[in-house]
Amino acid sequence: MKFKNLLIPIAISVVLPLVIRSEYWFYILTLASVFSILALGLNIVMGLCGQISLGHAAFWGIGAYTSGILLVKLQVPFIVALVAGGIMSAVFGVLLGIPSLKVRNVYLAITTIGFNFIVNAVMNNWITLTGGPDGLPNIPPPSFGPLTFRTMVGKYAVIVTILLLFVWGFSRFKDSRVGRALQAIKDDELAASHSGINVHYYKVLAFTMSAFVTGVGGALYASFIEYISPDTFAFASSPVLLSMLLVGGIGSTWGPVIGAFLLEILSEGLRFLRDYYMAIYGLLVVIMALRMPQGLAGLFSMLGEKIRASMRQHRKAPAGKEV
Amino acid sequence: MATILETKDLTKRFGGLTALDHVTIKIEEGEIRGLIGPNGSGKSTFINCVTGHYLDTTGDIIFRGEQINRCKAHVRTSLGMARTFQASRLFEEMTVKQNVVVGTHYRTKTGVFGGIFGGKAVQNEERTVFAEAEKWLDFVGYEGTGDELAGSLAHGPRRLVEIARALASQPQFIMLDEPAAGMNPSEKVALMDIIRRIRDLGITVLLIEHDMKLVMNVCDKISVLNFGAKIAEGTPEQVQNDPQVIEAYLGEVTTNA
Repeated sequence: MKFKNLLIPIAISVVLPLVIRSEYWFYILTLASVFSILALGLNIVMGLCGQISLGHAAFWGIGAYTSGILLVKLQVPFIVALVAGGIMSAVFGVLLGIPSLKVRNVYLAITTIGFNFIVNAVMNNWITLTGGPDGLPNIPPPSFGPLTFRTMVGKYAVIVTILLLFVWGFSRFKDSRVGRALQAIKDDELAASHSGINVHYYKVLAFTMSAFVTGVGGALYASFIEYISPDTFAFASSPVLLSMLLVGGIGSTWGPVIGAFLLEILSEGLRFLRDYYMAIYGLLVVIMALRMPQGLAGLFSMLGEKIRASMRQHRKAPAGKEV
Repeated sequence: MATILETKDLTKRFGGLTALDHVTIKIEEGEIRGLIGPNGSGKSTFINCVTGHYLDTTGDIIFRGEQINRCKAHVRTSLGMARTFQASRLFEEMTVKQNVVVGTHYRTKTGVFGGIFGGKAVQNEERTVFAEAEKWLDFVGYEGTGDELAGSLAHGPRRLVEIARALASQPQFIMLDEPAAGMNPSEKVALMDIIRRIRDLGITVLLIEHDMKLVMNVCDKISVLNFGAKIAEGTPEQVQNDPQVIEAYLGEVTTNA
């Protein structure tokens, strides 16, 4: 991705706080940005490399707890906690990546679910470290040196900046040598290995990178909400990340961002439905999965392609008359 | 002439079935070797054993003087062998050019950080590999921009792209598994030319093919498998006149011709 392709998203990110005055909606948008990072992480292992993970809430949690504990108990600088959250999560990514070499498809899905349950059990029961079911309160907001981002706008700025950096990095990575190797593994593992790609190495690498990004998202989440508890990172949250990815467009650069914003806004907008809310929400996800396997990002790029094609025809038509 | 590939008593069993039975084959550098045999005679299994798809073989596989029995598939590719598949296996959701570029993977260097943050060396490498991909697509006579998705291609072009991808790894030895399957007569003529030009590059070719006319025309030497065992070997004339081969396989073809 060229830098100029990021100008419009940057412009939107800058304008939004000027347009939206409601503190509540601002909170929703910031939360959606955090979810975008979490889903973008999942996109590396699932969208690029084709390895299913139904346990990504665990990486989210590992990032959040690592960062939260370091900030609360050791008072490390925010940037150190942020990176540590990503690295700790990446270490567990390696651990989950190794079984991925032996099992595939549904069996891999079950393995990742099991991983999520184990991590969640540790969060609930290692009370001296995590605070147990009561959670970990008083996590300080993001800060860089003397600058502390206490306000909603400040947190939004930090989180959106990091999101845009990750989106840029992802798009660059996707079209690089290693990114192509991951996509080759997704399309045809056998052909990839016979083309000289070390499939085992790159699968573990995909899990590691994926866990790192989601872990950083978790660290941001902790400093954004300023309080974390184990139930947020329970298995039930993993399919939420997955549905964001599927609705937005798996494998595409903007897919997870579109999906996270849509589903986050939708889940707030549908609250008036009360008891029916989850049913309608679920139905929408099912319809999207069935009717739009490429997700919204795929739909947008298809529409864009059509518009460009019709514009080309428009230009050609007068020239045709002259002949 | 040096030997590029040698198998000694190569044996592969699937449960009770012996798919390859003590196959000893020696292929010299620079030749075009045909591997023929009736359906189920073990031709593709032979390639799968040589390329490392199956690692539970007995006997020896010696490639360029090195014993490679236990090497994994990607390592064997890096040692200088490449292959295509009986049912073409392209990376469907990638473009044609990207497919071919994947073939350059093991001899290029860019890592994760290089890929993200770029830099002169990375840009140069990208430019080089895409230029190479275009060169190989031209070499096999692929018509198209190369920007279309591989999944959208018809049979004939798919075969060509697969060959281009295999060539992109700059192999010393290439194994083509029924490359003419699904090709029309004019595409087959072009294929014969491609195979000869591959040899002219100094690459040894092992060709599995059912189209006898193509095999007899293009191969220097032919090995014949039947029920997993090698039953004959020699020049096309020798093989065509071998009574065992005629009985096993070629009988119908020669009477038709």
